[in-house]
Amino acid sequence: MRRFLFHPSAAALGRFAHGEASPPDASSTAAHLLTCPRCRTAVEFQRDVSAAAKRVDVPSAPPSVLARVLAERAEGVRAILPTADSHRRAPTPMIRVAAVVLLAITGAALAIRAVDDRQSVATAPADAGADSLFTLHDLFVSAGFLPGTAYASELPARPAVPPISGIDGTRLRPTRVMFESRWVDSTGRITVDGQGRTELSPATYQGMAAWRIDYHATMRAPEDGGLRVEAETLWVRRDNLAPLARSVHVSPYLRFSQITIRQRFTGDSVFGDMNTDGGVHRAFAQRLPSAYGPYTTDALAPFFLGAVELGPSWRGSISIVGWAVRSYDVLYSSTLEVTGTERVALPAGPCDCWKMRIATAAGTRSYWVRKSDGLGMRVRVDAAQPGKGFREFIITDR
Amino acid sequence: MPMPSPSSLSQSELVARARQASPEALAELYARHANALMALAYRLTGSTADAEDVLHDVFLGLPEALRRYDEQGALESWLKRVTARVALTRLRRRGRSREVAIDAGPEPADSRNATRLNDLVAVRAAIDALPESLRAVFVLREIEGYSHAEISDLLEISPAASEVRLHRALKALRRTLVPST
Repeated sequence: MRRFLFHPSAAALGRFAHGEASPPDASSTAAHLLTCPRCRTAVEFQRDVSAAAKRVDVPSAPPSVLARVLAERAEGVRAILPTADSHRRAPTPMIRVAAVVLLAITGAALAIRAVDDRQSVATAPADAGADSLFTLHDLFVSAGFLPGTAYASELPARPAVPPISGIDGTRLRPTRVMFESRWVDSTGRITVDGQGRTELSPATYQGMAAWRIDYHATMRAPEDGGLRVEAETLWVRRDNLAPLARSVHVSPYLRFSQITIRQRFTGDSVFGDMNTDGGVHRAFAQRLPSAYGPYTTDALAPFFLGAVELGPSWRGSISIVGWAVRSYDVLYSSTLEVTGTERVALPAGPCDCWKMRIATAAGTRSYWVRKSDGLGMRVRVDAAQPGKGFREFIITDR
Repeated sequence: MPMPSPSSLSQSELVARARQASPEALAELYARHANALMALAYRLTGSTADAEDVLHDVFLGLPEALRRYDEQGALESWLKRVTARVALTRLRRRGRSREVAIDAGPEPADSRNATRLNDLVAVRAAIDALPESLRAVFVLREIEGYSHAEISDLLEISPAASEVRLHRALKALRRTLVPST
């Protein structure tokens, strides 16, 4: 990867801001942005002012203009326009042929690349190289709350329902819960294959009132069945729960004894780096489009709905931020909808819950949220074959 | 057999009819594209009256101009390029008389505000205050999504000059909208 000795040029930053930089340039610019607040601010400003400018009201075309045009044309008035092509020479036949060939080659290359990307997501072996590192992560909520990473290889369809609104993070209270991941087979036999704890506590982050979430779990890795320790620390704004910074640590991970991902959320982007003990390092910068917000992460997800007022017909959309190292693991868009109420028996005792449906691009699952405080108590994911059992993530103690 | 209404025509059928100067086809093209073209003209000229004149000129000459449209690209993109040329020609021909919205009076820089990007009135005023040459590049690049090569073609400048102008425009906007920088 090329590294900048000095700041990237304004043009290079502009290309990066618009997502038009070549992969090597994007990578080196992203690495530079990690350590350079000045350039980072410039990129953020360009994106922000561009988005704001598009939102500025403009007048509509009045019918009177058309009426004037039609009346004048009826009277024989004509105008000669400077069309886009009128002052250019037509391309020679040779140029046309070259353009067609180039287009065909480029198109074919793009098509092959797209197929490759999808295959690498679907079939990445457990000992794959660094490029396949991020196809298999399955942290707590990603495994239970979401269907996996494969569908995120492309930006998902925009949510069909409005984003979750009215988020008031000050409604949350310091909380510490224990949870389990279980497989329940068709006979009702329970196999616990993971357990952990997650804690929400007040904090400050760079002088800002925040919530800090500490998540720690030991799970069986789907790749080899071995035990894996997963830890995440997350800071979010106290008022609207927008993510500020995040650190994820997994050990072991594939062929490495440990991997660490650090993220920082600034403006509409997430910046960060990934490191393994095997010397694999990668910096990244990904955009979080506003159309998919609000955003949260695995660790906060069980607490998140405590910050909104749920009701019988409540629904909203939200996206979970992935590790964001690879472009297909940036965001997971979900729609949540209250479908009823249910009294649920859990190891921590019975509780009255909102029963919810979580819909993603890859399917649906059931979610039970405690009415009294909005805490996510249980996620159930049915096996692909009906009647073959289900996986659930449940709160076992508080 | 009754003729199909223009609203049910495919784009190429509509273009074919507009080339024959059918008033109904022109009206349908106006219904489909005039708002987007008006927005572009307004952003480039900064004046509703000028934007309406640009729109008028474009549609007045459209039947003849469409004969040079080869239908290789999207019609709206082609119409936008034509509109941009008409607007830029108009700007070059005579000095632009800017409109300033009643509620868009310039506000003094306030260092207590971290950013005024959420204030769209301020954003509009800041863009309006850009020199014409910078404003055109900003609008074409940041709002309309043209490449510097395309802008260089429209403005008859080099791509490098387009990049420089954009940089200056962004710098000026940042000074206005993020006073603390």
